[in-house]
Amino acid sequence: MKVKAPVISLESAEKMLGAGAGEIYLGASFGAFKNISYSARGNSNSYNPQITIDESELKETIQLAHDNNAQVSFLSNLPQFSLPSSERSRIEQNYIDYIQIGINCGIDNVVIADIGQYLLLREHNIDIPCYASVYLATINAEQVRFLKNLGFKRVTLEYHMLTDEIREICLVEGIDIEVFANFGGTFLNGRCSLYHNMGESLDLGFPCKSKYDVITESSVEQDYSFYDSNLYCSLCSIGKLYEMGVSTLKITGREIPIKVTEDIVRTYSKCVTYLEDQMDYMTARNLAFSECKEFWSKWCSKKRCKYMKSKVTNSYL
Amino acid sequence: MKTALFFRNFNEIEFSKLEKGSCVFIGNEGCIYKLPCKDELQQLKKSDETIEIHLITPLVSQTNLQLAKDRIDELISSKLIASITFNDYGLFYYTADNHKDSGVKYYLGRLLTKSFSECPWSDHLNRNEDEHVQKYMNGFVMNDPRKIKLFQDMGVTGVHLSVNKKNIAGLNEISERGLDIIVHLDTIIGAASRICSQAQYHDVKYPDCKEKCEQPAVLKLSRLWSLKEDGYIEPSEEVKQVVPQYIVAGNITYYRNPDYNFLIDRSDSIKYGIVDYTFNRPQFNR
Repeated sequence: MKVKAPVISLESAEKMLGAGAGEIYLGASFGAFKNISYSARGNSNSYNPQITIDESELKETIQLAHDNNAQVSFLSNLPQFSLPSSERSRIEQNYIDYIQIGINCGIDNVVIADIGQYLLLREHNIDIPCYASVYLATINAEQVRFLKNLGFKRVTLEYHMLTDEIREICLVEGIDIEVFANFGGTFLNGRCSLYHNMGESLDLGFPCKSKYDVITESSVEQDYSFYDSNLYCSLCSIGKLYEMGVSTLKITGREIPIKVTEDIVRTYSKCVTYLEDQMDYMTARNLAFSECKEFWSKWCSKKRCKYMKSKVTNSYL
Repeated sequence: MKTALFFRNFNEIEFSKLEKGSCVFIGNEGCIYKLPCKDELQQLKKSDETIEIHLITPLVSQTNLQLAKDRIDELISSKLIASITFNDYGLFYYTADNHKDSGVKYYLGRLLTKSFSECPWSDHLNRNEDEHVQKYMNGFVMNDPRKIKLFQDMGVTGVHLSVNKKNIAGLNEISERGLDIIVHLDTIIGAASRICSQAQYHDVKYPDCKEKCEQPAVLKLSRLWSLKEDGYIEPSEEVKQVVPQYIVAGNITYYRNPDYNFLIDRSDSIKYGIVDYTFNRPQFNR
């Protein structure tokens, strides 16, 4: 199992690789957009004036990753890929150029958010491995089979899964399964149109963490966190995920301070290393936890555990 | 354009109020428990043989995959339904593979056909982009000839769309490529989740959640959770203007389509114009 870390600059790549990431993912700043980018985020966010990187930094970052035996996933997971026909060729060529520059820089695979993007790459005989993004909202084995038969090599499952479900999905042969280690909103990424962190100048907040006046037939409740079901951590489930054959553990964090992401990557990487050393689940978890106890205690006290039974997972459909 | 009624729950249907030869879409984009069963549809057909029954199926978790497959197998063999709408690629893939030439039309649902313009503040996100990029962002994900061909080859004959003034050009193009267009006139889907926020809010589980779900909740933004401020803040006036009032039914968050009247004027290329029964009940009157 590899730990896959977000990278927003050469400097952040050094930190993530140093923390033990076996794979990194990033998006580039070149492309047709100004605020938005092909990486499903804006080019900047609250903590970082730039989270996508230019061509020369991309080359250096990839070289650094390869020197550390880590692979580089190139993000092209903008949720839409569509245009009325009159101007389609222009944007399609821009997309092909975006991918081609990435390939020329040495990327190892492309993360794709839409089947149309995949078909376009294949039509242009671009034969790089394609991974199905979380934006394709995969939550069952039939969808994994569909994507495998199209030619995808890996599928990232949605944030909201149960370990028994992941176990069944991992039985689909011939395709790798990636799951999230941390964070994630309430809505399915690929099925949510309440976009944020997309280059907005207004503070739109996080719609699924915001408060609402909730009006039902029998009551009005003010300032209620109606959607707040975010789950933060999966450290206690890593052993199970490791055993069932999950190939990649994805860390999110392009929108938070690099130091926080680095600590998260380090802890998960250590936990995986201990499991590879044949340590039992809880010992591996406890040892990784204790090496960064102050940081993890804060998260752990919130009891927002991914993949485990809770009020949130009980309401999964 | 033929007008159709959308019922999320079979129990909502008042047989006596349906006109002869009515067209009804039954089911839900998000909840497996709202899929009607064969007995229910037989009951409906018995009340009026000429009624046209269309099924809407939800996103399907691995836990509920077998239940969904069994229901699809049962309903296709029953010959009671005219079409099935899929909001999950996995369930569609299973059905296309196992029920070729079933005589039932296959449509892709709104969770699979969305457009960036369904974001209530898409104009703000698009504000500095070049004109052709704005058009690109406002297209439907189905504005792609390769994808249309892939799905047509798998048996898809139509798509459900949330249409507004910004993405109307995309609708025309999809229609020209031979797909039936089914437009939801009242609502746009803001977001879908695997988490049923309504069940969570009322602290109930299936089957007790059914009753709550038939009474959608209305949400008005009061406090933003800001990453920048690392806490809750008062939304600005500009934000208040772009964030609509949400209507939550189960795990799907809708909002009113502000371009309802615009759609009525452009009904030529629309096969079915769907009216949402739940949200047209008196308590949800526009």
